[in-house]
Amino acid sequence: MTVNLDLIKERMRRLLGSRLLWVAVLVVCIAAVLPLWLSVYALGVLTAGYYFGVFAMAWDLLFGFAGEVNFGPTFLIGLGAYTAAILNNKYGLAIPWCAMAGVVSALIGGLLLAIPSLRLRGPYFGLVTLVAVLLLQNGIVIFAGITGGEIGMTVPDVLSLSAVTNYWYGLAFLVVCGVILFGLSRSAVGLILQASGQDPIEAQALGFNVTKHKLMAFSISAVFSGMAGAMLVFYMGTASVGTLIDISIGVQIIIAAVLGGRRTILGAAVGAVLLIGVGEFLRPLVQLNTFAVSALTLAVILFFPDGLLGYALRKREAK
Amino acid sequence: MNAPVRLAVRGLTKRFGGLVAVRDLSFAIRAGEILGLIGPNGSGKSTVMKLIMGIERPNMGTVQLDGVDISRWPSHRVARAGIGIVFQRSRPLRRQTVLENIKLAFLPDSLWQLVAEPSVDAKARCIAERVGLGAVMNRNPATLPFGDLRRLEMAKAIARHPKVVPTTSGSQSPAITGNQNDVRYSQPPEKDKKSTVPAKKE
Repeated sequence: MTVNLDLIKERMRRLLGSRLLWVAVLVVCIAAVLPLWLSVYALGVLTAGYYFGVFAMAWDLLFGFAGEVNFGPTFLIGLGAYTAAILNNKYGLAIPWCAMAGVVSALIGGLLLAIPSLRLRGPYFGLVTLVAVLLLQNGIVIFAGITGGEIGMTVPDVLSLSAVTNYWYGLAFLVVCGVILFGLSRSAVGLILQASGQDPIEAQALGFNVTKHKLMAFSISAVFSGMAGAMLVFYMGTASVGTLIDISIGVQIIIAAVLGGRRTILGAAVGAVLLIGVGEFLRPLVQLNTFAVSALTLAVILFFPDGLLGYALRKREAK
Repeated sequence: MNAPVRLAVRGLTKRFGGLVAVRDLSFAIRAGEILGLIGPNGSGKSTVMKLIMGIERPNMGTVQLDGVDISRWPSHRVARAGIGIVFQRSRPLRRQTVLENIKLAFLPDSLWQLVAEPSVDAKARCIAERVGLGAVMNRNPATLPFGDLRRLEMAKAIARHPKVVPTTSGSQSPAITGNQNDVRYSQPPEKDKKSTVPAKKE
C-alpha cells in the first residue's frame, strides 16, 4: 500500500513537473478568455477549428500510435454527423440522443470496415478507408430523399444561437476529448498500441494481440470522430457532403495532424486550429489559399517531419 | 539429469511456394539445455524460430511446449504460453526510455488496464541493472550503442519469464546462456530452468 502511495505521489510529481501540462493549461486559459476580445466572426472560426481539432486528435491516435493510416477520417465523421442530422430532422430527437446515436453508428460502421481490413497486412486498411468515403459520399447523394443529397440538410435544433456559447461548447468539447485521448496515449494501453504500430511482429512476440489493440484504437477513433461530427452539425445547423465528408476535408484533417506533430495527440489539435485559422486569414487569396496552405504543409513535412509540437518536444529532449 | 522435455518439435516442414525452407525437422529440448542450429545463410534457421514462435505457420509437423501443441497458435498466444524470442534486429520504442521499453514486456494483453501494476517499475529496474543497462535506463534507445540494444532485447525476454528462448542472433550473448537464471525479483525465481534455442549464425 505504501509502495502504491509512493508511486501515485511520484506520478503526480512527474505530472505537475511536466512543462507540457502547464503550457496546455495556459493555452486553455487564454482560449477561455478570448470571447472577451474577439469578434463573433473570429469566434466562429475558432469554434469550427476546435471541432476539427477533435477530428485530428482522433486520427492521430490511429496513425501516430496504432500506425494505421486512415485515409477516410470523414467516413466516421460523416456517419456520426448524418445519423444525428437525420434523426433530428426527420424524427425530432433531442440533440444528446442524436449525438449518441451518431457515436453508435460511427462505431458500428467503423467496425464493419475495420474488422475485415485490419486483419490484412500491408496498405489495405488505408485503401479500404479511402473507398469507404467514396461509398458514403455517393450513398448520401443517391438516397437524397432521406439525406438531402448534394444540397445537404438543415437541422431544426442547434446547440446555441449565441456565438460565445457555441464557442464554450466547442472549447469544452475539445478539452475533454483532448484530456481523454492524451491520457490514453500515455497509458499502458497507449504503450502497447505504439509497440503494435511500430513493429507488429515484435509486439506479438511480446504477447500482445496486435489486431485486438488496433481494433480498439480504431473504435476509440470512431467514437470521437462520430461525436465530433454530430456536434459540428448542431453547431453549424446543417449537414452537407461538401463540409463533412468530401475527401478534401479528410485531407485537411490529415494535414492538420501531421502539421501539428504526429504521435503527440495535442499537436493534432494545435495543427487543426492553426490550419482553419490560416485558411480563414488567407481567404481573400481565393485559389491561392489552398496552394499556400499546401505549400506550407509540404515545407513542414520536409523540414520538420515531427510536426510543430513534435519538433518543440524533441528539441527539449535533446537538451 | 533427466529433466522433462520442454519443447518438442516433430516433423516440422515449411514450404514457401516451391522452396522447402524446413524439411521434416525434429528435436527436443529439456529444461536447462541449450540447442544450437548451425547452417549457412538461407538454410532455414530463422524460419524454424518463426515457426516455433507462430510468426509463420508450418505446412506439416507439430511444436509442443510442455506437451501442448502450439504449432498453429497465433504468436501472441505462443508468447504468453512461455516462448520468448529474442530478435536479431531490435526495434525498440523510440519515444520511450529504456526503462519504459522494459516495462512494456511486463504489461498484460489487456485493453482496460490503463496503468501498469506498481510492482512493474521495481522489476523493470532490477532487470535493467541485471543486464547492465542500469546507467542508461532513463535514456532514449536511439542514443544507445548496438550492444546495449541487444541487452535491451535480452531484458525484455527476461521480463517475460519465458520457458524457452529462441534467439535468432550471433547468440554468444552471455545473458541468454548464462545469467538468465540469476535474475531475481522480490519473489524467488522459478525452480525450473529455462531452455534456449540459439540459432547460430554460421
